[in-house]
Amino acid sequence: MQQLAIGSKYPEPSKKFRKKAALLSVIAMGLGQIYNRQYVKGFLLLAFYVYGIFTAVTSLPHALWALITLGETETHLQKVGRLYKQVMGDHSIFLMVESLITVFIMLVLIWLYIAGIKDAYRTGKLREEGVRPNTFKQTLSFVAAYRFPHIVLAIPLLGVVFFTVMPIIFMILVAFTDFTRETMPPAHLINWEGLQAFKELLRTKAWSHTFYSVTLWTFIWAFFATITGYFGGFAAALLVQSKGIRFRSFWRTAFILPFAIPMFVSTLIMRNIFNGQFGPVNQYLGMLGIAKAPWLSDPLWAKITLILVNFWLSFPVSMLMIIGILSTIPRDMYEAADIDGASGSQKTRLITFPMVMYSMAPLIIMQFVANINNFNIVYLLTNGKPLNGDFQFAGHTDILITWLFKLSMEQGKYNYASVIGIFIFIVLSVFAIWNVRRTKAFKEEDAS
Amino acid sequence: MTKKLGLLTLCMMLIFVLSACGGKPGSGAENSGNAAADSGGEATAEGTEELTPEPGAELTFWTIKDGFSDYAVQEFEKKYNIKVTVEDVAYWDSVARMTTDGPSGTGADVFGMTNDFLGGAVNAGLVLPNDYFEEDTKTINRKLAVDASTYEGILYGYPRSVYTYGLYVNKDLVKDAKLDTWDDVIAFSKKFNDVKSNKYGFMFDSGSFYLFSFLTGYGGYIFGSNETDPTDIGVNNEGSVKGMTFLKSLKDILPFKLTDMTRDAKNGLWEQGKLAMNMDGSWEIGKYSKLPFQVAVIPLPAMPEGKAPVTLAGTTSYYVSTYSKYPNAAKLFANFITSKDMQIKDNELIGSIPAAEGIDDSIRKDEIMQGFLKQIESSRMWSSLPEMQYFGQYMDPAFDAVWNGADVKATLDKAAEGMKTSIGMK
Repeated sequence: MQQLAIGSKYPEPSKKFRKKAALLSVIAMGLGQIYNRQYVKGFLLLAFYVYGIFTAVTSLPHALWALITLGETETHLQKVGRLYKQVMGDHSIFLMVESLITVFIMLVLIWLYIAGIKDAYRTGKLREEGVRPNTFKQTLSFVAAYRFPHIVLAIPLLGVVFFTVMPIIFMILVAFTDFTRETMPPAHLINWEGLQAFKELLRTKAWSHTFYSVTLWTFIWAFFATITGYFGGFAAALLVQSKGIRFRSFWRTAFILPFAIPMFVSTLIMRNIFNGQFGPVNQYLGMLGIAKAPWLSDPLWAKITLILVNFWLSFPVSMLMIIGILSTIPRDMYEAADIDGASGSQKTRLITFPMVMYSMAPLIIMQFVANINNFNIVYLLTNGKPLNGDFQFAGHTDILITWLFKLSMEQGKYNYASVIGIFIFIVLSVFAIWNVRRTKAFKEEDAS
Repeated sequence: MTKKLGLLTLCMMLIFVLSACGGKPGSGAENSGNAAADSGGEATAEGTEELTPEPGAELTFWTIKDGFSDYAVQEFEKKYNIKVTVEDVAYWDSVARMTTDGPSGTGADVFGMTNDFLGGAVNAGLVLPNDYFEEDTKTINRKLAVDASTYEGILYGYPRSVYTYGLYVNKDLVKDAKLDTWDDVIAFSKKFNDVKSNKYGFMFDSGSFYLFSFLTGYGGYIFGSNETDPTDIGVNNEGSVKGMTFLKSLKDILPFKLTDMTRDAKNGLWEQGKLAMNMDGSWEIGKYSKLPFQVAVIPLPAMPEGKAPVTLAGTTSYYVSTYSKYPNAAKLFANFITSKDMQIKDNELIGSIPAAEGIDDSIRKDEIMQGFLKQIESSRMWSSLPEMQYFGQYMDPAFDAVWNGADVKATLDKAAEGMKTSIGMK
């Protein structure tokens, strides 16, 4: 670095650096940097430029063709003499994924291209002001010293782009095709169908009936599952923390037990416990002389059982969190209330509840969102049963996500499943974004 | 300054991107091109000549690993000196996995599959026809097994075994009670049932696959022309209605909801010796011959008017993947492990019911095996059509509804209507 700084004679300040640098970068990414004497960076960018041009020439036309047509030659068997041979054609799904990757890489390169022009312009401007541009080593050491988090964040960001955004776009694209088990690649080509799947799902009576009913139940389920779990945890926390309770840690441990057992296991156990004929719950009820309840075989009861079991599995977490919050509420507020002669319920209603809600509200919303997507418990406990002859491939207790699973994994209706996936995606992202925006931390950053 | 850093960060990112995905589009195309060229070359070279395994062939074999598969693979390796890697993939998972693993080159060369998946697998272009050994396969196996491995007139499979269900009987409980008709079963169960302590005379699995046998007994069918015509649906014909009405009458001895009669619950009672008669599949032979009580199998007894239920049966066959790099070796292997001798060995080792004919003298003589051999005679192969997926979808709720008291004719009409709509709609 020393060598470089001494060796290079710096030219007189001029007004033309920024324009020239930017223009050179427009012609080819990296030229502007080289002109600015940032050689390593320049050549690195130039390498990307060459790669970008190469991709654009070799892969991009194929990718665009693939995205538009989804393949043109069908795979088929050909009989030669006594033997059949497979003659490979285009695989629509692979074509779609591969072209998406190409398009994504191109987009990233274009972004890099624009950023390169801006950078050349800015560095040119610095030079005009007489500032010597950073050498590559200087840049590197500056980055390592001050921008380390950016580098580390870049890795998950990359993951988000290629493992979250791209699959989502892929899923969205599938919704506009006729991708079902009947048109399974590679033997068949998939075609773009536009809004056909949306129309059929939302307009055809058989499908729309299932869709609206399942959606309605999904929201009812998520609402009750969240509310019961939360207030159950609240009540348990208040009781455990109330004055005069001894062996607090024992109670806490006892109540956390349902959560300590893997949900997968406990749900499967519950499934047997609530069996209307052979399950112990009904056997005990029978001993007490109470009629057997159709826990899992009656539609309404099955829904109630789901919420009950979910309550049992989810209240310990709320309880633990609320216990934590309770301990942060200042004692003197209660003492002041005592002096004013407030009753116990007034204290709970006017002090404890608002304080807890203040911290818990975002979490409740997230729990609601999680419950909309609570695949495990529904799939393992009822698997959508009891069956419903009026529904398409769904039972009375199926929520959107389990229905989506059944449609794709069991029925091979991938395009319909994608439409439902888009719907869930929209609902969830609205909640998630709304939730993030209203949390305190986010607001604070906005304000600053 | 920050922009600069952003740029640098980006460079780093791009290095990842390029190394991770850069080569993909090109190499993918290349591979498929090669594969096509290769198979083309072989096709002309082989023609009608003898089937010789490709030099350096290595096979991946998906099956449910059991004593027989280990044995057969060993024998094959000894005879042909071709290495076979066995992976434990269930017959009902293989198609789904092959659709993704096949094209990406990590799938099996030979895989097992039950016949209800055949139509879908052919539609997805996953299986090569059984061309070279077609005659052999047709001569040694039962016609129904061959038919079940055939789709749209082309034989694809190498049948290994057939399966159906029958009546497992706990002889310690039943003793010498007469069980010739369902009236006998009902009479026995009425005496034997003890709901308080969960003891029952008779129980079945509540899936459509099992219950439909009562409908076929009176002439009901799923698809016409021997389960090959999806436009002719018989789940609501006269025979089906009659069978369903009979099935409903069994509620006397099974006083609870179908939803509660889960497979777990039923098998639990059976293995504890609290269930006298258990209607279940032949795939349980291995497990149930080791129970601490004496077990026999009898064909399903006759219903009123002397008609016996006709059980649905299936065939497990092996298939050669279209993606196999060594199709000849794969065909040799598939044929080898399903040869007559191997089927006998299969029966001896794990109690499969052979798909092959004319080997009755060499197979197991116990009461379970003999019972199933009788049952398979009065069974009906269930369809290999892809439209089969709608059967369970509409019939499961129908059985549930009728069991809970719905009108038989109306419920079956609705189920048939649903199936027709789905098949028409696609």
